[in-house]
This record gives sequence, C-alpha cells and structure tokens, in this order.
Amino acid sequence: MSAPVFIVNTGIITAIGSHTEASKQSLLAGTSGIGKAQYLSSYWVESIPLAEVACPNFELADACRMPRHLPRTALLSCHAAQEAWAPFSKQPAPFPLAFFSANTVGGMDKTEAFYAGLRQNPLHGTPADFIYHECGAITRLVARRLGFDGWVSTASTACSSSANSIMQAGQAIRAGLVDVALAGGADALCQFTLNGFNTLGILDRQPCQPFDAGRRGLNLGEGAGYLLLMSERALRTYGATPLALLSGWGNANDAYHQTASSPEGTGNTLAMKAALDTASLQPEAISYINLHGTGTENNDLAEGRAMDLIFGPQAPPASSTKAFTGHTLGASGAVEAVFSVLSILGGFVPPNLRWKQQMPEHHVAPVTHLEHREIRHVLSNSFGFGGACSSLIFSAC
Amino acid sequence: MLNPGLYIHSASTIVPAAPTEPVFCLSAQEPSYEGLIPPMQLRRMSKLVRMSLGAARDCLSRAGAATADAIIMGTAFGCLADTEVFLKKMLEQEEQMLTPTAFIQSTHNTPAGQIALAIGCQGYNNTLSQQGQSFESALLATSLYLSEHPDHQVLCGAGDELTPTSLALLQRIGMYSTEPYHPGKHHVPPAALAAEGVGFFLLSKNAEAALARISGLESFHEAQADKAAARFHKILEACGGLRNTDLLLVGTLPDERSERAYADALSFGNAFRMQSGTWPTDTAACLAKLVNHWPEHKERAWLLSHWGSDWNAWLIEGC
Repeated sequence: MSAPVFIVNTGIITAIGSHTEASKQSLLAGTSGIGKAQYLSSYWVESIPLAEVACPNFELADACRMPRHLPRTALLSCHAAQEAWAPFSKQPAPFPLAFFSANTVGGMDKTEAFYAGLRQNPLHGTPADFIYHECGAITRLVARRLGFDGWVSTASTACSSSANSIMQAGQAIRAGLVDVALAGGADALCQFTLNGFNTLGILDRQPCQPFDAGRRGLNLGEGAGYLLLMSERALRTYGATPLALLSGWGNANDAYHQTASSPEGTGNTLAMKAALDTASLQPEAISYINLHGTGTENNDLAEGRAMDLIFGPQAPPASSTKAFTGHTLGASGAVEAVFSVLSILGGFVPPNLRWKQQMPEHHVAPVTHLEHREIRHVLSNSFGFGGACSSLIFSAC
Repeated sequence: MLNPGLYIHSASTIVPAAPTEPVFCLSAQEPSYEGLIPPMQLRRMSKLVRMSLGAARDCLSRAGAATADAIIMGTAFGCLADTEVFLKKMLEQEEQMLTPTAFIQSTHNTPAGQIALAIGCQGYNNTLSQQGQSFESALLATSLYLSEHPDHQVLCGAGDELTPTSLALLQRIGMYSTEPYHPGKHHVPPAALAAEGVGFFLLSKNAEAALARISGLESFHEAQADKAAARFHKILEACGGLRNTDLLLVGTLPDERSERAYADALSFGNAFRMQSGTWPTDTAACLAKLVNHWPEHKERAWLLSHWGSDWNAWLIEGC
C-alpha cells in the first residue's frame, strides 16, 4: 500500500463564498454566484454574466496583509491559501513547507492596465506594474507572504492547472520527498481571458446549464482553492486530524486539437482510468463525480461519452458545480477539490443547477437537487486547452 | 541536494550562436525545421512553439525513439509573442472584432500540447512555470512521474522566447544589460545579455545507453548575491567539493551579480561559461550542450545558474 496523502484543511474563495464554510452554505442552499460583475472593467460586463468574487482588491489585500497594488490573482491566492494554512501558521515548522500552486495568466490584470500606457510612452509606469506578469511571480509572492520556503512551483496547463498542482503535491508526498504542502491554484477575471473566451464563441449570455441538451456555453468565474496536504509523519508531528485523503490522480493528453476535445473523449477517459488505477479503485466504488462540466457543446459531449465508457449507463451521481462558481479556469481543479472534500465530510451531492434536458449522445443525467448520502470516494475532472485532461480522486478517511 | 537519479538518453537544443561582435541581445539560431515540422504547421507556430517542437523531435530522433510516454515542459514567460498580439488588438480595437488564434496559442501549455499532437503522445502532459526555476520545476515533475512509472521515458524540456517588449521591460528593471556585450573583452557588464532558446531531453530511470546522469539538483530563492554564493559553497562542499575531474559550468555570460555569486566557484580551474546569453530557462540549453559535448576525462559536471533571485545548482555525472 502506498503512503497516504492526508487532506488536513481547505481554503477557498469564489463568487459563492470567501471561505470554506460560506461556500458550503451556498452549495447546500443552491445559491449561484453568477451575475453581473461589479469590479471587472470591460465592455462585455453588461452583456456577459460572470461569477466574480464580491470583494474589491483592497479588501482582499487587507484581509491577507498583502500590498493593495498586487495582481488580483495573487490576492485571491493568498486569501484562500491563508485560510488553509491558518490553524498551523503559528506553530514551529519542523518540515520544509512546499507550495504547489497554479494559474493561467499570472498578473495579467496589471499587465493590461500597464500595456495601454506603454504603447503611448515606452517609459510609462513603474516596475510594480509589470514585474508580476509571470505565473510563477504570483506563486512566489504568496509563498513568501506565508513563509513557505520549500519546494515552490506553478502548474500552468490552462483549465486543468490546479488539478495538476494537487497531483504533483500528492506524488511528492507519496514519494516521501515532501511532508507538508499547500496545493491548489488561483485565477482572477481579466479582460484578456474574458475577450479570449468570447472570441471562441463559447460564453453563455445567460447563467450556464452544464450537461443540458440545450446548453449554450460557459460562464467565466474567478477564485482560488487550496488543500493543506500532509504525510503521515507530518500529521503525527502536528497532531492534526485529517479531513479526507487524496487517493488518486491521472493526467493524460487528448492529442487531438489545440482547443477542442476529441468527440469520443479519449484523453478524458485515459485521465479518469489513470486516477482509478492510482487509487486502486473500481469505477463502481465512486460515490460522486464532480464534473468538469463547463456547459460548452464540446466539453460536455466528450466528458459524457468518456463517462459512458468507464461507468456504463448507470454512472454514479454527478454534477457540475460550475453552475455555482462559473469556470474559474486555473483555479477550477482546486475549487472543485475543496467541494469534493465538503461533499465527503457533509455527505451530500451538490446539485447541477438549471439542468433540464437529457443530452441524447450519452447517459449522464446530473443530480438536480441537493442529495444527502454517504460519500466515500469522489472523482473530480478538469480538462483544458492543449488536450490537457486531469482527474483526481478524494476519499473518506 | 536532491538526487533525482535520472538518465539522459538524448538532448537537443536551439540557442543563439555565440556572438562575434558587440551585441545588445541574441536571437535563437533556428534550424530550417525541414523534416521536423511540416511547412503548413510551421507558418502558424510562434517561435517558442516551433523551437520546442523542433528540439523535442530532434531529441527523439537522436535517441531513435518514435514517441515518449510523457511530456513535461518548463517556461517562465510562456508564449509572450502571442499574448502580446492578443493584448494589443484587444486594447486597440476596444474589445471588438477580435479573432481567437493568438489567444488560443497564448496559453503556457501550447508547446507541450503541440508536441503531444505531433508525436501522438496521449500520456501525462504538464507545463510548469516558476520564473528562474521553471526548468528545474519540470525536472522535478519528471522525477515524480518516473517514481510512479519507473519503466517510462519522459520528454522533458524548457524554453523561453524574447520579444522587443520583454527586452525593453527587463532592461528597465536591470535584468538585462542596456550596454552592448563585447565578446572577448574582460569586461563585466552590470546585467546579463538578453537571449532566448530551448533545451529538450529524453529522460528515464534506465542507465542503459545513457549519455549522462542527473545526480543532484538544488534550487533556492535568495535576494542577496553573497548569501547565494555562501549557499553554493555549502552545496559544493556537501558533495565533496570540486575535484580535478570535475567541470564547472556557469549558465550565463558574466554580469556583476552572478559574478559575485559565482566568484568562489569561478576560481576553480575547470570553469566554463555558456556563450549564448541569458534567459530564465537557459539551464536546459546549457545542460543539453554539456551532455552532447561531454568533455573527455571529466567525471562530473556542476552547473550553476541564476535568474533574478532564483538560483540552481545541478550535479551531472558522465556515463
């Protein structure tokens, strides 16, 4: 039996709550965070619904004792990472602290604002306007603020980024190289991604309907999520009580197209199978599937077909929580990891809001109303551009 | 120092040629890509994507391998040129009438995704971005993957592209020199010579027919050059210090900061520098050059690199 990877705490901030307990209450109450953005400045804010974190930058910065001028992704990241680390932050650290984070566009919000002026004047602005552009710069800011001085890395694989950072933390703990890790990711809304997705024609003008036959596309969201992971040794040293286990992970590439999933969901199938293999579980052991379920034509088709292949016509209860939080891109794998842990602890399946009509191409019929049941193992999917497919499995202790 | 215990089976690199006259920056000397990338695809690819795919393919053919089991890439800046194209149009056209191509190609995992597509690799695919430790992050991810799949082969590499905007901004914050670099002159400019490039490797846990072994890697973050120097000193001491049969390679042309940090190591007789300029993932290109031209009578090579406050020490053993 391989070394267990314990989940000791969680931290999260999205449009449905600025910490774990608030997020749980929203999931239980069926309160969606999708609506008109207040803080993002863009032409499209009037016509495209978004799932924005209801908090201006200065409040986020003050809450996590970071300078107010930092990129929003760093602030969201620190807010959630700080929540996950809080119970242990005052204790002496007997192990190097590793930070496995993820994001897709680094400090792009600052870069957008700066670049407009730079075109007029090559000496426009100050270094603080552009030195956080890199994905890794965001991670380093947060690692330094929280005193994480061990292994620091940033996964950047589009929408599967934070599933990959969690996977890497799991691998590092299982290999005995790391004992304590914060793993997850963050992404803030910005004009760049909003316009990018808009040009692809996959943004829903209404609140999205993942896995519905009449789905129209996705809603973009923002946020951050982190799991505090520990080895058995660290768990004993800290005297910590685990919430759940990170038991399986799989990463595969569709190798089909830069943005589109193969219609038969080859990469998706391979990732889910690999996750079941690492967890040594049969498909029937899965009690709940947190779908990638973006609400786009292409994703929900490929994901559903892949699920038919693995689970047959009787798939376990499944839902896409993107109907609550929007698609938080590089944060989504971690946000949904936190939801998976909540599902195990609270014994519930969050509903797939707004689902009405069965897709004819596969058998996946998501759960539409909150269901209470015992949850032993949760499979969580994250797929993205570049053929990136990752799946994680979380298990009850 | 972590011992990744990985074997290098082939290495390929695309880097600038060593300058022969004074230069402000260096562009990568790209091959024609004939036989590596179909011309139709080549036209649509950004420099980072084509350099990565070109080196990845060359790496496989040097090893006589058709494909790999996994692809892991490191990049600090990602696809800068495409990012800027989309950003510029978005601002100029006030968010109207945009086309998706540059946006699609701007994600950090575009090179790794394109390699997967080109070589038909449906295995593990990851891209890491950690400033001056992006290649090192990719290497550690490779090490973790191979600890789970000890029989597999991983295509692992790293690279970055230089654009006029990134050059100007990095010059502004003193990362790159605004003075020309004079080859052959014993003059230490205040900052590094800007450049770009990629390095790719086929790595496994199998020693058979390997070119070299990665026996040590330590990365750290340190704002002060003299503290970094002390840390390098400690790392070298812990591995028995520098021996006559060692080679020391410094991954950058001289600049004031790295000169201070490497001073101790550079006093060693067998010290060399890579002559291709500096970029955040230049360790990959440096390592690829080293293993493809392993110096006779050398048993080990140390590779020291830095970018900003990120520092790396590598220990490589010849096979």
